[in-house]
Amino acid sequence: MTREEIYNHLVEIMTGTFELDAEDIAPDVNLFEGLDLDSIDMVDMFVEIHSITGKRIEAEAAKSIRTVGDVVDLVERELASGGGDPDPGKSDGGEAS
Amino acid sequence: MQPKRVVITGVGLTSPIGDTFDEASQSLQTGRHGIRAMPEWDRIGDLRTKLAGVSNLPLKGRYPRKKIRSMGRVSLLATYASEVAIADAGLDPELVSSGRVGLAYGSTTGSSDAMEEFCGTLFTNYSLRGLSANSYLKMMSHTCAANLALFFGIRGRIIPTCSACTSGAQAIGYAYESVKYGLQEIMIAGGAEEIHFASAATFDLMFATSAGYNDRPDASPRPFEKARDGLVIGEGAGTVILESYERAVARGARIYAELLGYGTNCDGLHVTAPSEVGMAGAMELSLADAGLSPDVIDYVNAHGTATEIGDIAESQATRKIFGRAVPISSTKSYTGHTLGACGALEAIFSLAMMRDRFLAPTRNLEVIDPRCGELDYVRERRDADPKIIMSNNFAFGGVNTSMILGALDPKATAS
Repeated sequence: MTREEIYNHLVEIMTGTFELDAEDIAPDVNLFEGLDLDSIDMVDMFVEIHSITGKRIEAEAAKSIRTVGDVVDLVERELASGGGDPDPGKSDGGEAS
Repeated sequence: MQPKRVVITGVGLTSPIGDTFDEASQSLQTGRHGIRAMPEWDRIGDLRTKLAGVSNLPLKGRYPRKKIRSMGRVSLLATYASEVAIADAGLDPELVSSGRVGLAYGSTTGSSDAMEEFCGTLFTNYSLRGLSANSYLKMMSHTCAANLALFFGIRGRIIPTCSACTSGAQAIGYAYESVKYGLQEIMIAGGAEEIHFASAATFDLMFATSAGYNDRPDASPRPFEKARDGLVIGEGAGTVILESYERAVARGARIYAELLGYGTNCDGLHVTAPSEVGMAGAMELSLADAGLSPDVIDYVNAHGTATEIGDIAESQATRKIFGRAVPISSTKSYTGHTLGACGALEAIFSLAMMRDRFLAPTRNLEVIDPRCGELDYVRERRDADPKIIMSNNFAFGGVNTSMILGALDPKATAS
């Protein structure tokens, strides 16, 4: 996924999940003051990111996010580092116990 | 401190038979029911019942996302009913969020849709992947109370009353006691339920649902009827505003009725089987609270779910208390059993009969089950002037409630 693809995907998520206008979204826009999102919204944002990267966001990384660009950076970093968790739909998670 | 007289000054609802007080009253007067076939439940292969009473209120786009993101359907229905009731009572937003207004609200559970989403993900996949931050907030037991408080900025006492089929009635009862004993100046009270195959399945498992009329939504449920075969699940929300009589009169509020008495108790015997003794006990408590003899009750709005064991126990308990053939009907024959909402909706339907001077008949009551108590089962719309009405509800866990509503002197009411 290129940086641009990540950004466009995030815009899609933000307009869909949070009913934001695409024109209000830009890399340097602050998620909280600029787009009126809050901690609960961010949890849902991380759920969406999880589905892209296959990895749960670490608490420290989550806390440092301020802007739309920070989210793009995070996704890019996570994708680059590889090793996402298995797709739960395909796993036999829990059955073994 | 002298207990205060408590009156109802606002009403709001959404139900299978209407989303306004007037519309619901019209439905009850003309026999218009809200039961329909549920082909969408066909995917639950072994579910026997395929009927439900559904609210037709359009919810999409009604409220801004951030105000409702933690609400499932049950909370949204409750929000609509409460918004209407607050406006109806003429309470301005500043007063509502002043701390002088409290809230009592219940539903059987939180949103079943959210539960499906949350449990489906976590319990099937054993993964947090895809879980939304709001799923739990939508499905938690006090989701209606919490979300309503947030939506309206309520800072007074919050009483979640989640006791299945008495949730709405207990909310009104505890709200009444809060105002009566001066614990809160004004209370918003009610109950809500959202339709979901999970609640249908619960009763289906216990052989308590109607399954023989799936191709004839007109013909079920049939409370007190010989050919009844169980309940039909319904949904909706009802909210009332309670305040002291003195306060209402001082501000020139329209008063629907006085809440004259309320009683609640528990059978302490069996988790699902009803007890005539417990039911009669709740009626005795509400009569004692109101300081009234059963002789002055003009009409009883029955719980009347159309289950064999429930109908018989309730009607026998009612006969025992009244010792006469008191007029009685079940408005669940119009809405289905709206579970957490029914106590509030049925109190509101009773207010409609009081205002519009009629008694709503039990639909589909052709042959009365001879095992039911000897009562005056209303089977056709009746012109009447019911000034004092008892509304009863009973729930799993052996919980019983009874409330008594009384019309005020016409000079004290605006309509």
